[in-house]
Amino acid sequence: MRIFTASWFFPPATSAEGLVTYKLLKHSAYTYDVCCSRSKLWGYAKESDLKAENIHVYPVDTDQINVWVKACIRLFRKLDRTCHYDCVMTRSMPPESILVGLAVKKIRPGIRWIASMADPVFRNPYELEAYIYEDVLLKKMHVNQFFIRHPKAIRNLPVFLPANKYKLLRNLYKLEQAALRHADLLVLPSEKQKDYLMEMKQNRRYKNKCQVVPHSFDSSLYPKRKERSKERVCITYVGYLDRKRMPTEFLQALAHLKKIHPSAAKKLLVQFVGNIDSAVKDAANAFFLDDIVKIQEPVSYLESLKWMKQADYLLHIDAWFSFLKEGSIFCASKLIDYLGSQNQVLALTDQSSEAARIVTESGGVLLERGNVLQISETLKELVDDGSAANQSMAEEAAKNKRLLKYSSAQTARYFDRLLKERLKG
Amino acid sequence: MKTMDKWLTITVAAYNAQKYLYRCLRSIAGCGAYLDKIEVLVVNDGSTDGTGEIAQQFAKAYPRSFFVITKKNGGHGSAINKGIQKAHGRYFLVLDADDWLDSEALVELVKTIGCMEDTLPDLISCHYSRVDLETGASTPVRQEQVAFRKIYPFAELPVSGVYFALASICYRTSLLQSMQLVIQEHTYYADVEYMLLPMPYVETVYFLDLYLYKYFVGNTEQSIYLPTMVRRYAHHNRVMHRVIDILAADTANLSGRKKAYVWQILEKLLYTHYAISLVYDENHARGAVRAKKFDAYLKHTSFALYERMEKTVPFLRIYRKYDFSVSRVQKAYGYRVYLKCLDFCKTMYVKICGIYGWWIKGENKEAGKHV
Repeated sequence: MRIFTASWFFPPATSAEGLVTYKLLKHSAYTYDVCCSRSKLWGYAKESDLKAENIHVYPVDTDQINVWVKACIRLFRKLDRTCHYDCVMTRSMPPESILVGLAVKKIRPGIRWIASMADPVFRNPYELEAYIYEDVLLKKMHVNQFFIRHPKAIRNLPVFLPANKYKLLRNLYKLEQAALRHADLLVLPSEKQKDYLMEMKQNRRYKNKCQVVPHSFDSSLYPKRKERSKERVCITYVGYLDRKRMPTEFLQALAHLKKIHPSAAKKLLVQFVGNIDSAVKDAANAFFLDDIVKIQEPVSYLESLKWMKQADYLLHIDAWFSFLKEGSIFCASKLIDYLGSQNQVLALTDQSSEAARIVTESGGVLLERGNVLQISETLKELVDDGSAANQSMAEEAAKNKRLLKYSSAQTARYFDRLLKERLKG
Repeated sequence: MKTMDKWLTITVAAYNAQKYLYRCLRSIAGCGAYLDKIEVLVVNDGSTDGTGEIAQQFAKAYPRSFFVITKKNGGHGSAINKGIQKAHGRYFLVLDADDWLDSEALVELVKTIGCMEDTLPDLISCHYSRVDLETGASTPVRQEQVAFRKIYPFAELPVSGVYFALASICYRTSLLQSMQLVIQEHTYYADVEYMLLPMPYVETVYFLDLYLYKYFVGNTEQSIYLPTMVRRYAHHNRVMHRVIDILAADTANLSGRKKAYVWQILEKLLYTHYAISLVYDENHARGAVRAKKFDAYLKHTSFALYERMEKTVPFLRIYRKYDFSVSRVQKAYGYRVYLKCLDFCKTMYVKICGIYGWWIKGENKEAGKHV
């Protein structure tokens, strides 16, 4: 089977969406032609040399999404004459990828379309937060619930929203509906996200098209672990931190630990590696943690795996949205990379989130959001008696079958089977 | 000390700042090779705690950059005065001991100054962040509507988008020294004088897109804490008098954008000044007396500003009408109606939103809890 893939993000660029796609395709038995962008506007501006025999990459030199969409369609027309694709695959970021799927369907009506919906298009919590929940009145109206119960209310949005905001949300709504209607297979990374998509009444009829393909880790990409320092316990966060995803409680807990048990705090080293908002540094300074907290520059994906492997513990932080009952519906692909490093994960997340489920399942530790004392106690335990830091337990967990289901080989096998079953004929 | 080749002088005003000073000085020391181009004057303003020792530690560790000036307590203004007197750097920046600088931004600022060989603008302005003591949350405060890395003549400045706060300004040192700026000593809020009094002499401004200064807020001992402001009304009053005498008096020689900028800031400061006495002061009678006295002074000194304040401060017109008599103001029909309308609107807004929210929330109570 030969599959045309439209993915704005793809290695060598370091971006979660591109890396998730790469790991999945690399271990698949099929051949992929990937049309991506070489934009440096998004992502970490760091590159990793990741290639695979079954993936042919066609980068487009542009920062503009509409230019990339047109280039994708042109490339499909050109390659399809010789390759005759069986499928087209689009990724969820940016949502305009859906336009490629729609155009390809128009060019070749019989072709099958796999649409990844890893990030919600309409009702994306980030969009809702930015466009609706910043508005005091709309916030009080529980707009998210409103959309779920009265899906047609999107038509009434102009009543509540300024024209530009309305236009943007309306476009996202249309894109999502188009993908749901015309795609043959909708791929989501977790049951939680599937449920979130199906919450809207008019989406439920597409339930059978939805399939969960979890994010995965590729154990062949991790380097060997060097000897760790025994003087300090190293907790590492790798990735992106912004004002929606802040380690405030974690830093407050560190400050509390430093105040109550300064000797234990001295034995801790917390590293934030990646695209870290300056607010994190400010908060660390505000709590006088500059001797414990270090902030490192962004690194490439392969470098980031090195940092993960070398840490004693890995810190996961979920973005938190006040209007979602789980706090967050997302399942960060980084969390799965963490699992692949075979180190124990500390997760600052809501108890009912997807991350909480995965971390609990893999023998990690949940840090209760908002409970500074609990986090502080856990950190002390890590330093003192290691009861929460049982490395052999983590090693066991890595071998555990439940963890293996996140390996990219396994995930790709499942994905291939899915394509074969769902897209035949 | 050979400091003539310094590009920036940072005056750290430190009074009993043992708890914060290390963080403050470390943020400066963190700028690596560029530290040689910085002169740090730690003015120990008669501290009785370990402030002096911490400052000395840094002076010992970085003898070419950190210098300690020990003096009798004279307040924030006196520390700035001392700094201006002793500064050798091309530019002058004031840093409070409980605040700190972003080391990377500081390096960028110093590099930029180093590149300005021929034309030195009178003022360099950066953004800053307010960092909350309790939550550690930082709020960026940006200079809006300006182009960065461009020398603006003051006359072309888009004054409505800029605000030169203590945390966002570096003056050219020679400008401060030649105008012989002296700030009131033993006076809180004297930083207002530092922010405004040099303005008539500032001809060119240069903006940098950097978050340099980290302004620590939320401390109840801080002078901007409201109850503290009421307690220190006399200090605020002194500062307002001096600033108005020099910049806004009918005799003051300011015009064009400079006047527009200074008056715009004065309006905000006067709003706060009236609010301290008429709103925040729980002793209403005392507040009214204070406000009346100040109002008479303003009318006498700058009639134009006096008239303008009536538009800026909504409650001032009513107070003026009833000659600052609290009982008459409270009885006044207009004031009562104004308050009632305000109250009614607030209640209705909350009720409408609440009812609407409850209706939408419907059966999904669980989700509602989180909203």
